[in-house]
Amino acid sequence: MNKKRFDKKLYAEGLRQLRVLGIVFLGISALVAVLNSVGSWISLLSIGQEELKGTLPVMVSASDMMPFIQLSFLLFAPILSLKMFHFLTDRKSSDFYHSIPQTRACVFLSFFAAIVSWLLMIVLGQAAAAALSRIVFPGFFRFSAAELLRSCLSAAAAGFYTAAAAAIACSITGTAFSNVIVTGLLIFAPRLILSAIVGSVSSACYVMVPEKLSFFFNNDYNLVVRMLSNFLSQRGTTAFSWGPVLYTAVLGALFVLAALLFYRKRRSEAAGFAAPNALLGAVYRLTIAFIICLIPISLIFGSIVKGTKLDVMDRFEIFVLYLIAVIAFYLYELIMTRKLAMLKKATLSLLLLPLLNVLAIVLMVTAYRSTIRFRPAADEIRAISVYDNTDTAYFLGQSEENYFEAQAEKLLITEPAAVKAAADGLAQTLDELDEINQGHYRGDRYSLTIGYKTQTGKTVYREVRVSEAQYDTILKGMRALSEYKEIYTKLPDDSATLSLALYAGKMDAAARSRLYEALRRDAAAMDFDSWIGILRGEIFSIDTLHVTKTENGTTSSFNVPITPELPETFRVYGQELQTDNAKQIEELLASVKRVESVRLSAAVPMDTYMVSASLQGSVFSAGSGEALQFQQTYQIGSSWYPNEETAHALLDILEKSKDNDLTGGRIYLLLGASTELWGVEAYNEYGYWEQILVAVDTDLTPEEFAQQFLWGKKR
Amino acid sequence: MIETRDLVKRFDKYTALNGINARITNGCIYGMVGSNGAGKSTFLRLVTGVYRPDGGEVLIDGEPVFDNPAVKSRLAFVPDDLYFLNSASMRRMARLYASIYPGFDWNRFDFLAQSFRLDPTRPIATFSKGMKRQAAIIMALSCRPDYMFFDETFDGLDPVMRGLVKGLICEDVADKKATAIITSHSLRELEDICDHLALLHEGGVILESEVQDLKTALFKVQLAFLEPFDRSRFAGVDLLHYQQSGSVANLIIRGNREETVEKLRRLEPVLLDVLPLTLEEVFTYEMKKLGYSFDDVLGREEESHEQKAV
Repeated sequence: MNKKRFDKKLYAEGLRQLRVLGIVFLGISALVAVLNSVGSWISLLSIGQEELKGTLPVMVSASDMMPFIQLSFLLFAPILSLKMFHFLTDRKSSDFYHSIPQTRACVFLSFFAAIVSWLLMIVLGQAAAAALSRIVFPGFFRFSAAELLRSCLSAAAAGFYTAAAAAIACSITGTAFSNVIVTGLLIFAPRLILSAIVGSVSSACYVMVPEKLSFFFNNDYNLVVRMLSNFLSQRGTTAFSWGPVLYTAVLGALFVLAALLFYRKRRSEAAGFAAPNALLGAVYRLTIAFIICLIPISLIFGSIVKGTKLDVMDRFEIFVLYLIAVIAFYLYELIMTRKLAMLKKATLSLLLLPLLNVLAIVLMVTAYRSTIRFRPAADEIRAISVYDNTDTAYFLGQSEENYFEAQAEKLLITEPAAVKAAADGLAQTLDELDEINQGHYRGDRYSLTIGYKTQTGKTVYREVRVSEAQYDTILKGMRALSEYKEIYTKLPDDSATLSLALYAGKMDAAARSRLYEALRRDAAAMDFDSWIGILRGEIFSIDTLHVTKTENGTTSSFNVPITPELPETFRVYGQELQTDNAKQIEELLASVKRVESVRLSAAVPMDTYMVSASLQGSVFSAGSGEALQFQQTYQIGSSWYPNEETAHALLDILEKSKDNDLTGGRIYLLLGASTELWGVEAYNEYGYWEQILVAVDTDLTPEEFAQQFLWGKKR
Repeated sequence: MIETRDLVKRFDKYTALNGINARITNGCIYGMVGSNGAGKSTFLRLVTGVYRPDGGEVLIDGEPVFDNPAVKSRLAFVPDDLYFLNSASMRRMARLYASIYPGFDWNRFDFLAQSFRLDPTRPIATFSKGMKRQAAIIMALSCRPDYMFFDETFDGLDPVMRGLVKGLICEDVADKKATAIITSHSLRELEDICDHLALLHEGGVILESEVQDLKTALFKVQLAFLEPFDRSRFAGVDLLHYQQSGSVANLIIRGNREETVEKLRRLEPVLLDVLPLTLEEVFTYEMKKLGYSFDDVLGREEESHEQKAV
């Protein structure tokens, strides 16, 4: 590489200077990962070897393995960057690095490469420690190395971005405190301001669809914001996709370029000053104050567009927040300069704050008016596309789209009646906007996201509340398209882009694939309306298959209930479940019998242990649409006694279930059987639970069966 | 050769250097004197490429210095405010220098550390002020630079070490044809080592000359006459200073010493003594002629400190 841009020796020097911090961070990360693994192992051991049989190895996700991966980019990466470029905050060190015989670009890039290297070592070291510490407990855990690497990639991209932000901060400020403040502002302020403005406009403007504005407005694209909000909201990780990784990495690269530019332009004499010039100083102060102003801006904007007057409390709130903004403005200056005289100088730039507020409000009002101005007549619309929000009953995952709806949304409906209904629906929604803003919801309206492709070729998305008739007309137009049915009935078959998960049943990946293949056959063979009914969850189910498709950086998913209405799927489900659980059922039976023997044993002091066995679940028949729930707990050592007759009858059922192929039954039993042992003194609780599906060939109705075998009688 | 043309440096509204022109030939030791704020350190930071000039240019062997690694690799700069890595030893600092300067000479480093009796493994933070300065000088000289810049470097060094450092600088200049620029408050520190001297005041060079020329160009004469006389008696002599007390007059004269003395002898004085001038006196009178007060330019405070020390 050109020595004007990069120098190996300087890079090595950078690595050396970050060595202590890097090793400490690597050590913390690895230790957390190892302790987490050991903790999980101890937790599994505490359940008891007997109960664990059949459930091991436990599948662990990357987020479970590296629970504090966020630290690497939220804390470690910026700290490494701040430490590396700390020399810019002191005059003598700044002069030294500006005097050395390397170009400024070379110094910056070599040192930044050292930061990135340590970041990668920390992230990969954490992943390696997490993986190795799971591997050393053979038979307990299994994990996906690919998922672990994808998680590392996301963390590295996010860390690259935060390290670059800190590098910019170091290049444009000259004290440690201002470095930290400006780093925080660079990482969070743009997204915060953007989200607040878009949020305010869209909450006042029902028809606006923020997700359809541009990927730029989607917070999930910023991995730092996304992973932080996931962590804070305990959401767990969202599915990996390339879009956010690329977006964050590109943003990081732009930050690096900006930092490089600022570093090259930086004057050594700026060291020790919070801002290298008065203009930048004003920008920092105003940004902090402006963030506080976002709430009053939102209130004022809301009042303007809704045509309502601000009440006394609102006005007081606005006054207080503006006061806080002004205090923050001066406080920042005071902390940075420690000179009261500077406050007077700073006052001039404070005059820009109201101007910025006015600009923001004008921008928001303009965006609002521009949004509601879009009211095309039917003949101005070439086609529409529809995202049916009413179909999302089984849509889980907060950042994922519903697969079918996302696919159907690509369909262009040109049927004139549907187009007219969509145009009328939008006009009607706009007319009712005031009503909607005041929180008056009408039960006879259906919510749809409609894309209006105008005659000019431009597509504009609007959230529309249509009447039932309009809804039917639009859906009729959509369902009339042959591609529409195909989307719903021809399930995706590209296994490389699919991820399958069951909510209740435990199956390995191969079994889940076989289940999905059966589902694809059922979906292709079924009557369309019945299939839609099943997808909407209008039937009792014993489990749910969650299918996630990731393609071209976009993730969408759908859920399918496992129900006897899907005969092939249901059969395969039962088979796979029983095959997988065959050994576990043996253990369960052994466990239940053991509990009985404990009860009968006089050797166990009754005041020391309380032992229980419970059976709970549902009884249902195919097509019944609902199930009879039951729960029966047998407690030993308390005033309750088991119905031995019933218990034995159920044990017989469990015995038979091992060979059951689920084809001959007329009613089905979904059993969750468990045993629980409590050590009173230690307050320990051990549980073992297994779900078993049993087909019963009997002339009894579900009610009669439940009455006879399950509900039992208390003595 | 170091050349500056109309060099200007401003800090906000304050102009630290205002159009400095200088030519410093290779193989010389160039001294710069001036009071605090005269612009000496700023000049060195500009010449070493730490600062970007706001006007004019700095050339070393015809090449601009700023952001030019090829030129900067031939320079070594010992600033007045020294930089060392946190809790670093001299050996750690030497590794840093070695990774930065292609010509870093480990043998010389070991030799100099031994000569200065400094332990290279001891943390520099535990060194005295003078020892830290010695450590910085060792680093700079170990880079085997063609151009050396020392900012107030002799401050804090004891006379023995001062002599040693001066000797090392002279050795490099003599052996390698290296060039050194040394700044100081004190003219006395520089007069025994520098070939050239420049006096900076308020961001400008007000006097620059070869030391030898300065020393020979001016001389002091003490005269006495039996009959009354005044300044007009010395018409035709280039007087920089005239002071008369009764029948005795003290004259500071610029010009050819032999010719002038011969001219004065023809006036038949009863007393005629030719006395040598110290460099400081030369500066004092030269500056007076330019309209400056030496005390103002080099700082009356410093003078009084020196007097106290004496």
